[in-house]
Amino acid sequence: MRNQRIIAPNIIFDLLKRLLAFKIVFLLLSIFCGSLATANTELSKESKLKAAYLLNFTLFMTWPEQTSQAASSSPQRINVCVQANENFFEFASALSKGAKFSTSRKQIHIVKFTQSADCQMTYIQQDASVFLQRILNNVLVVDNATLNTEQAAIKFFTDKRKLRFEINLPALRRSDVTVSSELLKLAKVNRDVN
Amino acid sequence: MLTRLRLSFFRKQLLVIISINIVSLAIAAVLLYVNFVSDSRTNLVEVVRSKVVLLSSASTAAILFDDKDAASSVLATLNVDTSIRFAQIFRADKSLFTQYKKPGQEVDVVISEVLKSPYFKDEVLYICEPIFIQQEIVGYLLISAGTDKLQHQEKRYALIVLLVFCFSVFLAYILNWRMQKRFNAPLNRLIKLVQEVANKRSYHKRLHTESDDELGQLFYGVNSMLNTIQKHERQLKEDSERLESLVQLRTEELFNKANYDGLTKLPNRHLLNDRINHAVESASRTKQKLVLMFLDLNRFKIINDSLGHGMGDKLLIKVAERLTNLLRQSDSLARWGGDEFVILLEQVTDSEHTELLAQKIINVLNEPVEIDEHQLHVSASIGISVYPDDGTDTATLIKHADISMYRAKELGMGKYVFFHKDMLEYAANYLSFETDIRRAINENEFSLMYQPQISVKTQKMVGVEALIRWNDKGKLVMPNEFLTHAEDLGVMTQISQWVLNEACMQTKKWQMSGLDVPKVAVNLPVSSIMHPHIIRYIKHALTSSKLAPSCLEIEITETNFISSTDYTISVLRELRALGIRVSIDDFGTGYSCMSYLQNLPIDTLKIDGSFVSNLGKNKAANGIVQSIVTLGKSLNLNLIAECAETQEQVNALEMLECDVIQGYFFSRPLSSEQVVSYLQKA
Repeated sequence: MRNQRIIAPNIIFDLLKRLLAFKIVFLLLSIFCGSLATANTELSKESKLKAAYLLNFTLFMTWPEQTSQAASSSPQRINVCVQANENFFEFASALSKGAKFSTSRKQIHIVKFTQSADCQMTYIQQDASVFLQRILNNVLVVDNATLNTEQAAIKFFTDKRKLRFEINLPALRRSDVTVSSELLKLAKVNRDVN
Repeated sequence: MLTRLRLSFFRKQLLVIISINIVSLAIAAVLLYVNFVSDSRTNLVEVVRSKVVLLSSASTAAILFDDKDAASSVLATLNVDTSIRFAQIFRADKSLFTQYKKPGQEVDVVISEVLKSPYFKDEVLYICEPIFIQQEIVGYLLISAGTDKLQHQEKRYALIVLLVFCFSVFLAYILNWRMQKRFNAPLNRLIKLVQEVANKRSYHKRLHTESDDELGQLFYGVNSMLNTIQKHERQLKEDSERLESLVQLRTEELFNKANYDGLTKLPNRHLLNDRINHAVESASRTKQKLVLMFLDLNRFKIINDSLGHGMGDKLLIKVAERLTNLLRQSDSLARWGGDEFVILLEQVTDSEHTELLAQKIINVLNEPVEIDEHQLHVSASIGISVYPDDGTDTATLIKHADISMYRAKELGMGKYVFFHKDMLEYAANYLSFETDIRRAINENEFSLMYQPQISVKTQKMVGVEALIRWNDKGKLVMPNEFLTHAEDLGVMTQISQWVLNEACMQTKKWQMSGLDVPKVAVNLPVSSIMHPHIIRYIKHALTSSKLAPSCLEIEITETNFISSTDYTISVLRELRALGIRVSIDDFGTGYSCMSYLQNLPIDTLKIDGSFVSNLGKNKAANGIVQSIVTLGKSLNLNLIAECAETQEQVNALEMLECDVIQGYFFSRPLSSEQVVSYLQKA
């Protein structure tokens, strides 16, 4: 009996200690997840897919190497210029840090369209036809809904609530890039000159 | 095991080779099959894996762009391969993205099970590979393939391997069999040859081969071995033939030696016994008589001793020839031994024929035999026994003929006597006599008596004749009773020697004691005269007694003298040369040739007592004595008359002018002591 009276306060103390440790871990997790949640909540699922697709396109494309690059052993730098809101830009930038986009041969960089003139691929989300003359030899990716131009090599569109893309071969040819047939198999291909 | 089977060596060899082949082929077949199974499984894995890799690559973009349709269409290409059961594409988080299923097939595995591929479960293959893009796994592709086709292939392959195995075994058997048949052909030839050689001794056979391999060498070896054997066989055959002929020759020689006499070539005692046995058997059946003649040559021993054995042998051959010429074809003549012959007459009808033949034999043998310029005189004594009267078996017949022969000898030379059973007692006595006379010589049981010889003119004693007596256990035995036997026993010379020594010693003793004994006459039988050492013995008697040779007179009987040889005469001449006188005893009984007498080396003739005894009784006796005296006188010989017993006889002898007289009229034979007193009285 004496022994039981002594043990009871120890168990209660132990339980309190464990509860405290759990509370601290939970608090830290809430802070971290909260920050991620604020960024994601501002970006729609479609935009996220588009960001992912945009980066995935680079995996099936081959750009000719610059002479200075060919001589050096440094990986080829592919600048994906984005003309979109800040959230998209950040989301895409975060994605581009993934291993598959940063290999020894090719490194994908998300840059703001306005900040760089050397773009290998350009994504224009908003209506920005005014910038079109700046985009000459790179691959222009546009949303079908926002910008309809013959210059665009890839256009996103939605089919049966699924995000699909269309490839405009003449435009692509002009952009001096080689596209894998795998990509072509998934895309709606527009072969017309117009 | 193999050895217990009643198989030929070649069958066993074939069986062993085939067994080895089967084992080797079985191992090869199993290895081949295992290798095939392993290969085909590896191959299947490779094929499926390559499909996985290909499809992974083709479905990368579809996964990245979440295009299930595209991915499904990629998987749908697998429908051409019937072995593919199903295929599934998973996202990187292993959630199912899309899949393809062959109709009737169900997904029976979860991805976590098959991450370590290839994975076989219940004869089903599962391969799962990650789908990479830029070294990042974007998904997984799982393909499951059935192995029905593979199993079918394996079965088919097993069947093929089995067929190939069976065919190979069959082929191996056929090839080995053919090859062995070919290789064994020469060996079979060798075996056949060896069997032939062993069974039929055909050593002339050879193996022909042109090869110089081990078999060739073996054949060569066998051939050279057969050469050697053939040579040895030939040699052996020759040796054997030579030995056989030698054995035959030796057998004949032995037969001849065993059955024939080597010298005369006549049947010997052994063959004669056989012939008599047969003759007795035959005669007992035919109830005929047989005659056995036992023939002994007289004086043969003397000739043999004096002229040597060579001469004796030649004489025997001559005698055998003469006897053979006398006999019929059916009669048998054999040499019994020494100078004895036996004649067997078969189919005898009467005794006259036997007597005639016996007399013929005696006459033929009485004729002198000329050998190497010697004229030899022999004569025969014959004893005759008749079957069945005198015996019914060979031994008895011969014994009785032998006994008869001795009886004939006692009767004098040149006589034949038929057996009579009384002779058996005599023969028994004769045997004991032989023992006695040998004892008499050893123990000196002999003594000499001396009969005075009186001169007709002076009436004085001019000499004595020594006469031998034998005191046989107190019984006095006369010389005619034992001397003939002594001659037969071959002890005559010993006795003669004793007589000579004793007579000479005694005479000298008398002379030394002052008695007038001018001479002593000693009778010597012809056997002693012809003894090779007789001169030495006589000389010894004279020198040891110191008696003058002129005081000794040697007497020899006329019958012996006539038949004596040139050798006897030479001995007598030698005696004469020594100064010893020689006289002929019993003169007138031997039919001496007068002209022959003229040249003989003699001094005295002793007229035989039979003539003297008959003096005055018949004119013939007177005539004979007269003739002898006349002859002696004409030859200038001294004449002595024996056996003068009466005054008439003495008177007659004086009338006839005989020189000396000896006989009971003057004195009977005297002992040495009596001679002394006789002389003293005179």
